[in-house]
Amino acid sequence: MRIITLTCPNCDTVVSGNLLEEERVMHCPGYRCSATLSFENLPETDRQYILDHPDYFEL
Amino acid sequence: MKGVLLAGGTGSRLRPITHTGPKQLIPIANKPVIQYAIEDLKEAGITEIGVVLGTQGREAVQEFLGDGSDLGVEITYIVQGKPLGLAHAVGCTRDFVDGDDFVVYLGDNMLNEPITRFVDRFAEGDYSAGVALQRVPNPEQFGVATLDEAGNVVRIDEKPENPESDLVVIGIYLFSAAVFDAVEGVTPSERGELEITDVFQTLIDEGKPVYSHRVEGWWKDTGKPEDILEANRLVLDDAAATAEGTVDPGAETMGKIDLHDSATIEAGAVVRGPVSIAENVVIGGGTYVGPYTSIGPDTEIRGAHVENSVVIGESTITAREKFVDSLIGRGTVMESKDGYLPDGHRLVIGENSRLKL
Repeated sequence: MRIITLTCPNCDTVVSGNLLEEERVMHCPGYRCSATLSFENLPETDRQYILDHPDYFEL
Repeated sequence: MKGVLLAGGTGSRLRPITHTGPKQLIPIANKPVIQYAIEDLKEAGITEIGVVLGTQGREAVQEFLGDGSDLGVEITYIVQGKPLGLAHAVGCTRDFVDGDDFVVYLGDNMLNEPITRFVDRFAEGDYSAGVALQRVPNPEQFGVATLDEAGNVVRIDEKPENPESDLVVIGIYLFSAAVFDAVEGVTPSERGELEITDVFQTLIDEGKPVYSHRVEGWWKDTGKPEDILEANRLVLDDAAATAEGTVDPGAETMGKIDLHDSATIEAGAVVRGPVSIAENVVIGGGTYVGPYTSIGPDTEIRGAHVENSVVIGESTITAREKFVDSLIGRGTVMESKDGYLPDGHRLVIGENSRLKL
């Protein structure tokens, strides 16, 4: 299973792609970071992988 | 070498304490569990640390650790979201690790021996991964490792009914960057998690050696209240006495007492170490604080008997009762019911509390 992440360009916090898919647009969860992160920031192929495998990201 | 500290999880076995804070911040001898892991990594020369966070308690961990500078390390946060397994957490660290070898340390685990030798031996060899092992009397409750003649791991069985050995995998792993390809090669288990044992098996099946290191000193997974109390006992046993606070004439103290310089033991109190007493604590007259007790900051105890317990802090205990083997959450008030009618216990108890009255 591929693990897809996005690194905040502002603070280097790494956010999992599945969390971004859940939130779609979110404040960076980094320490005192004001950046906004979006699922759309991921490359198209990564987004599609997450959307194609919802069973991988459900408990 | 980098460090990865896993600080997610729900802490369900520590409710109600974890209803209001993450398990990694529960104090052991008045120091959060996670700080022991950071100090262990730092002692091994590892100062670039990625902290993997879940969905609960994220802000509290970040408020405590900040950017790491107060603890002499550099922290990068990695937000996993749902707890999709240890292997998923490890997979999320790929960009942070950036090709280096790295230590993975479960943030609620404690060891009393440094990981330095484990890290050094791993670095000297050509290993894909390493596991810390310990002998336990109940291996069927853990991941059990089978080793070859060279001491490398050839199999890990998760909670086997009939374990082949008593050597179990504890919460500290070492990985080379080869682990990320192995993570991609596994899929979620029946419980929906990406299992770290599957990753180890993938590496082993590919002929990549997995180093094993036996931990001889104590190890604690602080996942349950009784584990917190035992870890507290173990740390206090090893702690030095630093009685810097005020001990009034007429107070009776003996044994190792770690007394913060702003704490006071008043006349008529009896304190028997080993104990840890944090800042702005008052141990009033008529109080007995017995061995293996930690009293957290901003707490006042008067007339009570407290022994083998952890009081997390900001609490008032004035009930003339005996409290033993207890984990007492922040902001607790335990007063006397004397003078109140009808007679009986008056309780405001959170979900999942446990009382023996």
